[in-house]
Amino acid sequence: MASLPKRIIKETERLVSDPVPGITAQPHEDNLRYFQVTIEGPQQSPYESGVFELELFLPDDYPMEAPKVRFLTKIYHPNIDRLGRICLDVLKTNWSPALQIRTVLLSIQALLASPNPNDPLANDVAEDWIKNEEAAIEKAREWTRLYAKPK
Amino acid sequence: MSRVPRSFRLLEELEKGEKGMGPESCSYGLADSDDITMTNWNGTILGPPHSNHENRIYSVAIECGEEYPDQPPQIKFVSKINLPCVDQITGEVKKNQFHTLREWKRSYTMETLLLDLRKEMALPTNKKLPQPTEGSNF
Amino acid sequence: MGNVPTKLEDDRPVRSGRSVSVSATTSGGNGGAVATRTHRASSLVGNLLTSRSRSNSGFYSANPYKRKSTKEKEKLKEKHARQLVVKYNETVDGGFLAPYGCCSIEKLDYDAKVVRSLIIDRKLAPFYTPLQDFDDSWSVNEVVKIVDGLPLHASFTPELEEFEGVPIGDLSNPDFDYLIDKTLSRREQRRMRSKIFNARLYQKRIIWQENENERFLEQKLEAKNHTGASNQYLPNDSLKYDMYKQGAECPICFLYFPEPMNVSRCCLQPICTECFIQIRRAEPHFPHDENDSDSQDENKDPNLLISEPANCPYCATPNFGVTYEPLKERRTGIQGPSPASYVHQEPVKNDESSVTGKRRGSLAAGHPQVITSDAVRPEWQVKLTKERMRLARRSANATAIHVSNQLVVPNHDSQSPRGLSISPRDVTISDSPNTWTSTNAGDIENQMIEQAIKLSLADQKEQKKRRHSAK
Repeated sequence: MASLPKRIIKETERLVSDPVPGITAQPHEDNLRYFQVTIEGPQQSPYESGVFELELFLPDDYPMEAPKVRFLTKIYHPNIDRLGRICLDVLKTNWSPALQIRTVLLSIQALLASPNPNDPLANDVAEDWIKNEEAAIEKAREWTRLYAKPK
Repeated sequence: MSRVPRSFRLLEELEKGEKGMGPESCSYGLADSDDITMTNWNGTILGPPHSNHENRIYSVAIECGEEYPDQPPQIKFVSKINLPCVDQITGEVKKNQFHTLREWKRSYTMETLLLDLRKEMALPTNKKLPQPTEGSNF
Repeated sequence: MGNVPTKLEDDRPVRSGRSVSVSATTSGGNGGAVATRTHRASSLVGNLLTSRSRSNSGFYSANPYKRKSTKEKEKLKEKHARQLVVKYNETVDGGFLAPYGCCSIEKLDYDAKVVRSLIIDRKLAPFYTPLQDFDDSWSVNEVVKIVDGLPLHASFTPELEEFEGVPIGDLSNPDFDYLIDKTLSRREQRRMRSKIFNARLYQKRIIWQENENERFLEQKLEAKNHTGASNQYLPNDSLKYDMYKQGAECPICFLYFPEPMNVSRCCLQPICTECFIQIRRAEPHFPHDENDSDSQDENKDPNLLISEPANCPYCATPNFGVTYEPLKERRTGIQGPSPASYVHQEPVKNDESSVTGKRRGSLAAGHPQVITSDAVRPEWQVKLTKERMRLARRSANATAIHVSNQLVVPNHDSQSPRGLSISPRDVTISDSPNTWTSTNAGDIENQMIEQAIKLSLADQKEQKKRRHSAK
C-alpha cells in the first residue's frame, strides 16, 4: 500500500490527541483514508437527543479536493437528502485546502444547528420546513428518536 | 493509492447516471431512492444496431452487494433475451460465462457492465440469435 | 530497474548557445572567488534543458484555438511530463525546478516553463525536498545526515488501479497503434488510445525519474569518496544545515520546508511551491449550476459559462497570489555560485526586506512582485473559450439538425433522385434550390459556429474591458 501523506497522518493524530467535543472520527484499519464519524446533535436543535453516524473519505487529491462525507443515520433536514448526502458549501465550491477534517465536521454540526431551507438538497423536506416550520421541527425530532442513537 | 469505499463509489456512479453523463446506449439508477445502502439498481440497455436487438430496450436489475466494487454485482435481465451468458429461466447473467463478471476489476463500474453486455449482444455469434417477443419478461 | 529501454535513458543533447548568455546577469559582489563561481554558474545554466525564452516558442505563439491532432496533444503532454522530472543538477538555492511529490500529470498541468523561469528568477520559492518532520534538538550532524538521505523525488506507486489491465507494450517503441483493439468503434478506439497513452506515460515518468535518482545517488557517492573535490551541483554540509535548520511546516501539506516560503499576497500566510501550483481556478461552469440536474448544459447559453480566479486558501480573498523574498546569502545553483562552495553568512540584519517573516502589507494581485495562480496556468482563458465554443458547437449542431429537419421534407414517392426535396416556404436562400442538400445544412452549421465564436470572443473583450476599468 502506498504511504499515507503526512498531512493525513498528522490530522488523524491530532483528532485523537485533541478531540473535538461532541465529534469522533476513527479511521478504518484497512483504509486509513476512510473514517467512521459520529456527531452529537447540537443543543437546542431538534437533533439534540441523538448521536448521528457518518462516513468520511479523503480522496486522492485531498486536501486539494474536499473530503467526501455522508450521513449513515437517517435524518430529517432540508440540506441532507435521503441518501445522507450533505449540501454544504465548504464541501463543494467553498472548499479550501487550508480546511481540515476537523473544520468540516464542525461545519456539519453547525448545519444541524441552523438548517437552511432556502438552499435545499432535499426539496420535499425544505418545502415542509418553509410551509410549517414547527411541524417540520417536530418531525426532525421524531426521526432523531427513531433513527439516531440516544446520547 | 487510495481505495474509494463502496458507498462513495456508488454515489459517484449515481451522480454520473443521474446527470446523464454516460453513454446514450445505456442508463442506470437506484431502484429505491430511499435506500441508504444503495444495493438495488435498475438499468437499461439499448440493443445494438445491425442485430436482432436493434431498437429494443432491455431492462436489467443489478444488485451491488457489500463487497462491491471489490466483487462484481449480480445482474439479471428483467426483459427476456436470448444470449448464451443469460440463464434462460431466471434471466441471471452467469458469472462464469461472461468475461466482465468473471474477470472483474475494481475499476469496473455498472456502466462497464452494461456496455459490455451490449457488446456481447453485438458479437457476430450472438447478433442474429432468434429473440423472444419484444416486451416479454423473465 | 534492469530492463530499462535504452532509448529512454538519456535526454536529448543539451542545446547550447542562447541560454548561456543568461549567466551574464549573474550577480557577483562578494569578492575574489566571483570569477570562478560565475564560470561555474554559466555551465549550470548551460545544462538547463529548456531555454529560458518565455515567449515566441512553444505552443503559445501558435493559434491556441487551432485544433490539435491526437499525436500533437500526446507530444505536448509527454514534453510536459519530462519537465516534471526532478534533476539534481537543476538546482536553485538548494531546491529544484520540478515538484517532489507523485501527483498525477493532470493535477500538475501548470505551465512548467513559466514556473521554471519564475524559480530561476527567484520570484517563486524553488521546489524543495520536504522533511516529514523536524526536531529543533537535532545537532548539525543529525540534520546533515537526514538531508543526505533525502531522495530527489517521492517514490511512485508502480501500479495504479486506474491503469490496471491496460497494455503498455514496448516503451522504447513510440508507436503503440498495435495495442489498440481495431474491432472497437472509432470512439472506443480513441478512448483506448488515450488510456494506453496515459498508462505508458506514467511508466515513462517513473523511468525518467528513476534514472535521475540513480544519477543523483552515483554523484553523491562519488562526492563522498573523493573528499574535497565535491560535485559542483551538490550542496555542501553548510548549505544543507542552513536550509533545513530554519524551516517551517506548510499549512496545507503539513510537510517541513526550508524557509523562506512563498507568502500569500493578501493575508501573509506561508505556502510551499508544490501546494501553490496545485491551486487553480475551478473548471468552466455555469453560475450556481450545482444540483441543477434537470436542465442540461447544452440548453444554456455558452456565453454564460464562467471561471473565477482561485481564492486564497487561507482568507478566501479572490485572485490568489504569492510573493517570495529569497535570501540573498543563500543564492546558489542556476544564476548563482555553486552550491558546493556555499559559505555560511549571518543574514544581513539591517536589510529588513530579506529577513523571513518581515511585515509587508497585503499587495494587489497586479503588483509586479505577486505571482498569481493564473500566472502559472496562463491557459485558463483559452480553456474557457474552448469550452464555450464546444457548447456553442453542440447547440449549433442541435439547431442545425432542427433546421435541416425542417428543410428536408420526407419524400414518399421518388420525385427527386436524391430522395430529398425542399419546401420553398422554409427556404429563402438565393441558392438554386436544386443544390440545396444536406451539405448546405452543414454550411448553416458552420455559420452558426462562427457566429457563436464571434459572440464569445466579443464577450471576452467585454469582460476584459470591464476588468480593466475596475482596476
